[in-house]
Amino acid sequence: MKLSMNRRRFLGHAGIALAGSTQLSTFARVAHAAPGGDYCAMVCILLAGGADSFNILTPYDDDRYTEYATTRSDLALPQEDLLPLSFVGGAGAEFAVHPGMSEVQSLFDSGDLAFLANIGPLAEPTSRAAYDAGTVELPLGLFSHSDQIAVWQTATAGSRVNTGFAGRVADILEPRIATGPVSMNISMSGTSLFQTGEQITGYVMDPGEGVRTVAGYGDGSETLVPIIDNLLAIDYGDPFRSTYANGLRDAIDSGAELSSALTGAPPLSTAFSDTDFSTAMRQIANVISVRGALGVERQTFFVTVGGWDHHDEVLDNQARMLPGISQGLAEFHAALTELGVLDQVTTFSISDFGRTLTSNGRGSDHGWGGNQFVMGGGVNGGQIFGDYPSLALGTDLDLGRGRFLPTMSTDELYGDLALWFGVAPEELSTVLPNIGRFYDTSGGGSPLGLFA
Amino acid sequence: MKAFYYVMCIGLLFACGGGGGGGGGGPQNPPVTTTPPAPPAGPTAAEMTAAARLLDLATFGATYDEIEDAAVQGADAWLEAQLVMPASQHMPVVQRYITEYGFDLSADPFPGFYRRFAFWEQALTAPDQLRQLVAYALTQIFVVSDNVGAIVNDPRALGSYYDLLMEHGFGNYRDLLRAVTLHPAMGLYLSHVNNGKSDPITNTFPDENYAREVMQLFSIGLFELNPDGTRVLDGGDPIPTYANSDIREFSKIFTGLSYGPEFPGGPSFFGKRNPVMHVPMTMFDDFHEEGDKQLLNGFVVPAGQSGMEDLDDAIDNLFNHPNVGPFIGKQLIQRLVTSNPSPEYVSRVSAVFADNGAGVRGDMRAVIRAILTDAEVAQGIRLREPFRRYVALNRSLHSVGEDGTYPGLGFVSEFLTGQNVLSAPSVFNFYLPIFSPAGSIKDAGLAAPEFQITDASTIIGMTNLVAYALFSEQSLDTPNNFTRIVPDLSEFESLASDGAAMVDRIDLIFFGGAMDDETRAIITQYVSDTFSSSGDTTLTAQVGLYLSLTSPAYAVNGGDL
Repeated sequence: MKLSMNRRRFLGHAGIALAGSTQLSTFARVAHAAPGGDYCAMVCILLAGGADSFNILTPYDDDRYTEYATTRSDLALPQEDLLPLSFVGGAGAEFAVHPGMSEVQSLFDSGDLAFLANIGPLAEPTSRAAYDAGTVELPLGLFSHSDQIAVWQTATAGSRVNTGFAGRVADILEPRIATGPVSMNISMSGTSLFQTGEQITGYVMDPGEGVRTVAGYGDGSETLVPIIDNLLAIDYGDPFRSTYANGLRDAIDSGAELSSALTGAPPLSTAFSDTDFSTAMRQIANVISVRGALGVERQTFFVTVGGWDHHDEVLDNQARMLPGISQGLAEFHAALTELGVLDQVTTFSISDFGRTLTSNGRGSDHGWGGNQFVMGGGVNGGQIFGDYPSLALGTDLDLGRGRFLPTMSTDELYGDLALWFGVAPEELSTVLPNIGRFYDTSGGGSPLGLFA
Repeated sequence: MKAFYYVMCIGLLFACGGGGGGGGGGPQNPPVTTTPPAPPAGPTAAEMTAAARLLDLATFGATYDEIEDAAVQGADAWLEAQLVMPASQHMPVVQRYITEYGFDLSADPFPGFYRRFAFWEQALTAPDQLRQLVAYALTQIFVVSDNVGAIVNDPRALGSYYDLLMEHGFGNYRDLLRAVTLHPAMGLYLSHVNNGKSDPITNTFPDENYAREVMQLFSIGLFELNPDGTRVLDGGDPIPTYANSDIREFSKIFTGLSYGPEFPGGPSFFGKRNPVMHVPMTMFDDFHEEGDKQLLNGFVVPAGQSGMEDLDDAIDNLFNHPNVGPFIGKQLIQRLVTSNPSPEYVSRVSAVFADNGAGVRGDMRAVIRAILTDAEVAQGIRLREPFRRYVALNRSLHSVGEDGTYPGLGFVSEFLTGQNVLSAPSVFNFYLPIFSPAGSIKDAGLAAPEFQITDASTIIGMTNLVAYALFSEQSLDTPNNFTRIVPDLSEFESLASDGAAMVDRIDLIFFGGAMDDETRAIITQYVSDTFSSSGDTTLTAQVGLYLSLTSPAYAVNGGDL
């Protein structure tokens, strides 16, 4: 957006402009070598609200489809509309994706996308008997949006902490890698718990406007710039004002660095759709394209797509919303291919929780385990990791109304991501305090074997 | 501080020089002598500052005249007058726009925005500022958002919802909770409209959405609380207020509701798909879950009652839970005064919630009075939220369109800061009450909810929003048929030749007299330089306001400066 600020008025009294350069006009170029091959990024897509993911990845063979359709009742997708995947699980199990996700079907079949079945936050391995007996530590605030959206990001299911997985990863990696002048953690959707660490402060872009700069700051109306600088340099006595001042200072400085880098970058030839999600993914691709100019070896990106709390009209809403996700993923995949970094960028979804398999009339309610995807050139795609459960009611995993006890913990996903990203095995328990409950960190390999 | 009071007095002398101070309430005017100069008639500087501080908390943004009036009346009298002032409702404004411009969803202006126009008109002009503001605070607790089609399309949905919050925000919490529960905007937003009973044949169950959020967000919260708002601990662990089985029982209560009739006596039936957004939902007993319901603390709703009897029992069950006072009281303190009230402050407010002194539980007027008159108000500190900064700028600067209307869309503020009234991204509002940003605030163990939407993008967006309002000739975005709402800078232009006086006036009106000396010195110097080099009173006023209203000093309300 262009602000129609009255610039003439600023310029009209240039006689009082302070001499000398401003902090802003001297963009100190950080002389990092281009990272070359040593670049990795992870992109986290939060489907906020708790996506009904048993309609994103569904059973397909007749027996399992019948089980699915019986349990889901009016929420079942017709079998003939589903898009089958070229993967056969145990006992001949076949699977399909939602009819609106043909791009995801192709990405899966071509080996660049995998699914994780019945994954959710767990504080420790949890059996049904232990759950019923109350002898196991459970995620705090099960079935509640605010809690589950938090524990998916913190990866500390049994306790509330103020740092997230990518924040702690950045805290560990930042001291030993080149991160450039802009935070390595960049969000398209505001401050995220996922990217908050003890040390790291993330940078936030606006998906539409991209890098936001102060109107008139450094573009011809410099007389106010030193005044703003002076106001931001005041040593405020209270933490509220100093936090605000530091935040505005960082926003101005990082914005100048990033917009300077982006201005010099050739535009991507990959076309993106005009949806909010695709716009955000295009911005991420743009930032990745200037990784060399920024001199950054590791980046994490975060984007929220809201509106998945489908207590009502889940079928209509998913039919409207899922195609945009599928298209945006394919566009991002194409852009990464164009940039030659497909193997170096891993994109994955998270969501508050899965939902009840049973219907409340036209929608579904809050559940626990659900299905997520992981996309990237380095991913062992074309597979479904974990155990896709029987969707019949009354099984050991059914906690009532088809709320499924997860059979894979978020720690396992994050463990694979962290190791791929360059966290050492002995550092895993710093990043993921509970990982030892699910995986022997001294045993080699990775919890899931997600990466080739 | 001495210097501060000195310039304060200079500013007041200047301001009152035009004559006509306030009337009866102020101190008597002493005989005029030449040395020392006599204080002017009307309130003292200290009284003006105290009034400005109160109005900064309790209005959408004060004007000089209002501060002077309040200073003359005294804080208590001003507050009591506000507490009994009738509500300036939004629906009559909505209806006026419907009458004048019709209800054609493809027309310009889009009828859905009439409720935004109503908000701006009343926020900027209504005398019952405290009631308007308390309702605004309640929009962030009883969250409904216009990011749902049927809610944004019909301006009566949130127009009537805001009126409901104004009516019961100064009434009783029980009536507030009941009215919120039955409002169709809430029914649509949390999907308990057309929520049917269990059907074992089709394997369907009541929708649990409202049952969960009414407990988690609108009444009792997740954990048992002491009256001071701290958690009750059992062996070091917090005690959940409810289990998922409780949610399933409450979900049975909220079955059988559908849209009420469009007009009195009109048709209404369960399953009605055409939303009727301005009258309470109607209960249809045939679609209400039968049988008893096991609610909280051992309370059982007996089988065989009507749906509305069930619902009233459930509202009572929540209303009488000991958590409500500290849970709702603490959040109202956070919205109105300070991010981190002490347990003692919360305790005093929840005691008033429990009993207003006349044996009444849930008296919202008494709760608001207790919040705003507490001894701890003076130590309060919170980040100002972007939307209220934007409203305050326009209100304190008397913004109005040439045609006398206030048709604000709020798109620019929404785009730049992510915030607009009744437009939260989810039922969890724009920020959580416990949010704390990394760094010195978190290290000090403090909450600062408004920082959750303060990031590199929105903090610059907020700065640019101030520039947009002051420098572009378009302070609010307006639809084609209306004139722009433009701030009136004349009050500050008239002070342009005296930089210190102008900054004093800005300090009084926007900072409640709390601007720190360093900020004051930097801005005063620049304002004085601007005037001496340009002689341009408008530019001088613009840069003075811009630097002040984008400064970290203003971004935070309260604190020890």
